[in-house]
Amino acid sequence: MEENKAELLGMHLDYQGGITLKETARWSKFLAIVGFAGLGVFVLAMLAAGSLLARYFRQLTGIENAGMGLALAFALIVLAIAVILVVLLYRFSALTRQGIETQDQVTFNNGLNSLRIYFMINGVLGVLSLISTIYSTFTAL
Amino acid sequence: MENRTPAGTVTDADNIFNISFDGVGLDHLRQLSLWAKVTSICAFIGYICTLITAFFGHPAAGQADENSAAIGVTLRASGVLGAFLVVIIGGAINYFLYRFAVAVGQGVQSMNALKVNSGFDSLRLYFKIIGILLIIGLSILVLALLVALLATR
Repeated sequence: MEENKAELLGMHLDYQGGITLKETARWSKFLAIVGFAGLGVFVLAMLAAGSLLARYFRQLTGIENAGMGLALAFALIVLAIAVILVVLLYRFSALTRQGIETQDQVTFNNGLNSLRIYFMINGVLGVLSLISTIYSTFTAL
Repeated sequence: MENRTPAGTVTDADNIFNISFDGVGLDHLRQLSLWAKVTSICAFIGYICTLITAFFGHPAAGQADENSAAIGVTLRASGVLGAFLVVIIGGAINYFLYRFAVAVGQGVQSMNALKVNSGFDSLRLYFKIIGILLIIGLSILVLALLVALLATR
């Protein structure tokens, strides 16, 4: 009962907490901007040296056209996930900061929601990567 | 007298005080804490697997055929060293993520704003370490590109 009442009232963000959150938002914005730049460079490199990379990939793996299509689709999916992650990180930093500065509770909550989705995607990717790591560990032993 | 803020003006400190973690925010924080914990624990288990592979894994096909034992030992040593580097850096980063997850989880459960604040401080360090490592990595990359450019001239 007490806990429910406290939850309805909410927990106030004090001055120190606000400063910490703003600093967190600043670093996450930096990471997001570097992420955007990195993705841009990646896309440009793929466009500029796409045929060269495809030839190299074909020589390396021996996979022909159908496999190349699959590899391209996989690369696009990875790119899409990376774009979503970077956008979510940017949204977190921008909305949280904006929410604190304009006293807008909804904007602040939207910022937290972006961080929640960001960590949710990271968590799912973490579980998938762990499964793959465990599999490769067993095959390597 | 001159330092007094005009009537109706909202200071930075007032702004922060009027924002709170309401029901929706607390729900977001709960899920945030859960998924951050999942991410960090998965990473820790992954690092253990990486170390096991580096120490006890069979050498790759190419390495097994090597006649020279010295090359094999060097390859194995560099693999172990690389794994250690990954584990130390990744472990430090994910330690702060885990601390964030635990502190926010406890803070939301006990409605303790100080705990939540300390959790966000850990998140700040998490992002900061990644940012600094990124700056170092990019600097090395630019330096390597410059050296390669000069070498080809």
